[in-house]
Amino acid sequence: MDFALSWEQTQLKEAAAGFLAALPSARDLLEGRGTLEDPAVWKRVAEEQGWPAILVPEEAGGFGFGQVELSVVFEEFGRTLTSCPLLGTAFATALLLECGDAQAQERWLGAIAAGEPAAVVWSGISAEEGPFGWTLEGQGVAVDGGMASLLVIVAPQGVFVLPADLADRTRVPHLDPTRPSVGVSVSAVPAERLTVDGLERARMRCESLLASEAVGAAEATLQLAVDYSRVRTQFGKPIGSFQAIQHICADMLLAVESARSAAWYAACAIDAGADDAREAARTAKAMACDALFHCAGQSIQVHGGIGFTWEHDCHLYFKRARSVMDLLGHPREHRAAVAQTLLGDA
Amino acid sequence: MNLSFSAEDEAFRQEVRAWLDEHMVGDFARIRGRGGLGDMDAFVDERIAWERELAGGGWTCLGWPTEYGGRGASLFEEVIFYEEYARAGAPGRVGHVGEHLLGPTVIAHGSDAQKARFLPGIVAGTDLWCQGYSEPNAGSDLANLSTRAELRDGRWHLTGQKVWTSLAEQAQWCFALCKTDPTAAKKHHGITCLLVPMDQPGVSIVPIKQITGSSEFAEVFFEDAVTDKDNVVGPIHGGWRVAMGTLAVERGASTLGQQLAFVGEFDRIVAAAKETGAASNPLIRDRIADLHMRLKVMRLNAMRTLSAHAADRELSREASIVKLYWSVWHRDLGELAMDVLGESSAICDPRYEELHRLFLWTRSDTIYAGTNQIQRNLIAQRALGMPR
Repeated sequence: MDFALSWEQTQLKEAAAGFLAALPSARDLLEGRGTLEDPAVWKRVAEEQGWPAILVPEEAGGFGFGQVELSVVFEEFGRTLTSCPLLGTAFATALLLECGDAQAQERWLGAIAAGEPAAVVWSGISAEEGPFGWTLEGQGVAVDGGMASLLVIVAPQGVFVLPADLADRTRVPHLDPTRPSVGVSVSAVPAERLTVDGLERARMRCESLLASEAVGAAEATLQLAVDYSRVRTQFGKPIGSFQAIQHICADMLLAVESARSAAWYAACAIDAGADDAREAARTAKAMACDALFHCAGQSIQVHGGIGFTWEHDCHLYFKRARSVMDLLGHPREHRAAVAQTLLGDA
Repeated sequence: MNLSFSAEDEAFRQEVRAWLDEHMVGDFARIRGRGGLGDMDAFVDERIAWERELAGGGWTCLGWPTEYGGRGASLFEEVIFYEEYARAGAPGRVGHVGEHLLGPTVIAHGSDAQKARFLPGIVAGTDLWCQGYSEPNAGSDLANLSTRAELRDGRWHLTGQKVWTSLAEQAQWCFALCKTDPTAAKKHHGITCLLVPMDQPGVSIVPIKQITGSSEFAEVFFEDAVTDKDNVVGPIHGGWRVAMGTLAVERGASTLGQQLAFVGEFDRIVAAAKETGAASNPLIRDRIADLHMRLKVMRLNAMRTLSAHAADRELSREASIVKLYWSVWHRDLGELAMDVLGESSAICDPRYEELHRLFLWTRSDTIYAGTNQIQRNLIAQRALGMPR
């Protein structure tokens, strides 16, 4: 029993935190200092840090590490609201890993491990089989997909892969400015079909990553609130000395730490192939999204008026909190699915 | 990251399980699941016998050092024991106060003579203890206590009132915080921790009838109650530090292992929801799933705490987080218990008696052993370092 980060995982966490701290912050990007999708940053992520290769099997040119390692990195990405596009790429990696045969893995995951950014369209596109193979039709959204050179499309007929330049792509304005998203439109575009057997496993990997990302973001909102409560003075005292503020922060800590337990366990269960991995990923996604929304909202409250301004980072986390909630299943939908396994149709 | 217990720990789990299977028979099987929270006044005589049965098997005072009659068990082993204890539905412990509160306090602060005199009876399950901390005007503000103790003619003389004392009728001894120096500059100075025999004319006990209709707690009145001058734990006037130490261990390993007892209660409510048809209501389903998820995470939180502190056994910082988490979960479960019963929930149906008890009892969970508000103060100040 050692439900804690190992020495190597702690090193990875610190490396990720250090790397991200040296990049332009979300605020810098919003104010035009640096660009949200910077190929030079991505190149360093891929080549110096190797994070896109974490889940890629060694045979396909990756490290063959586990979900836990990738989750550790995502917690740090969440803390700084970085997308990069590691999220889109990790989603595509999960689908290729779980749905691709050895040949598809070698080709496509090999490209990802070598530094090709990728993204996923989860809905809106359907496929048809013709005399010359499969073609795709429709439009959807690829979250964190602005830089992707590879697209993975989840259609009712299967999971498909295609080079991104075969699709029409247009920037989609997004409530969450730290999450660059593109609209993807395809018409009679050929694509390679993977199996659908692993779709649920891929989804649970993605839910687990979103959970870890949300935990990092939630902890950041707590830190902002606690730091501010020490320096903001009212009635002649730091507001952090008032129980009304202390109790808000205590409840935030409880939410963050519980969500972290859930997110760590989901990653462990996925790596172990545990029977309860599916439920663990749903639990992590639901609890972490609820925790982040709670914390991001309470952080604004602790900050008072300044928290409502464009100048302060509070709104970035609040918008992330809302945008991650609907991605890959609202907490309510995950609870409904867990209720179904507990209660049946009743 | 590894969530499996070691082979040695798993072997220990099997040993506990086998012993409980073998001994939870006859009269003891009859009181399976009884005497827990909200039910502590049930089957007291049987549970006193059970305490001795446990002692016979060497299962009392697991975490105490072997020199004091314990097993010197690791924190992992203690948690495993409490998990198996809950899984077996073994009855609520009457020896809890002695084993978890008074015993560790005497081990930490008591004299050698006190250790020799008081610890063996706790290990053997023959001496029961009760705690005399809270008073009518000393709840969250414990240092505001006013029970007086004076040293006269070689004995301490106590006058005052304690409240919310569990097992007061059964206990042979009480460890009581008393004011011994009313002139002290600060109110948490001048407090002394005294060990007081319960069977004497100066001690009277009045049960408190609670919201549940049952009486698990009592008021204890000291009217010139006496105890020997040597029955002081820690320094005279220095009882506050002793008391704080007790509160730090109050929620330790037994709390980390209690999640499995909650699993039993949760399953009972899921079964009731199916019986009443509430399980087809989407709002009820959402709450059942939410409580299920939070219950799973309760154990994960416990395993993280355990992993972080197995070596130093220092649980005081986490204790507040753990208490706040489970008490709110349990209260929410109590509310769900009524909602699954539907529109006739208020009718006292013997089939669902324990759901009513759960609903009512859980209002105490967020109050005793430090209210949720006190826990939030402690979390903010100790874990988050917010200014006082």
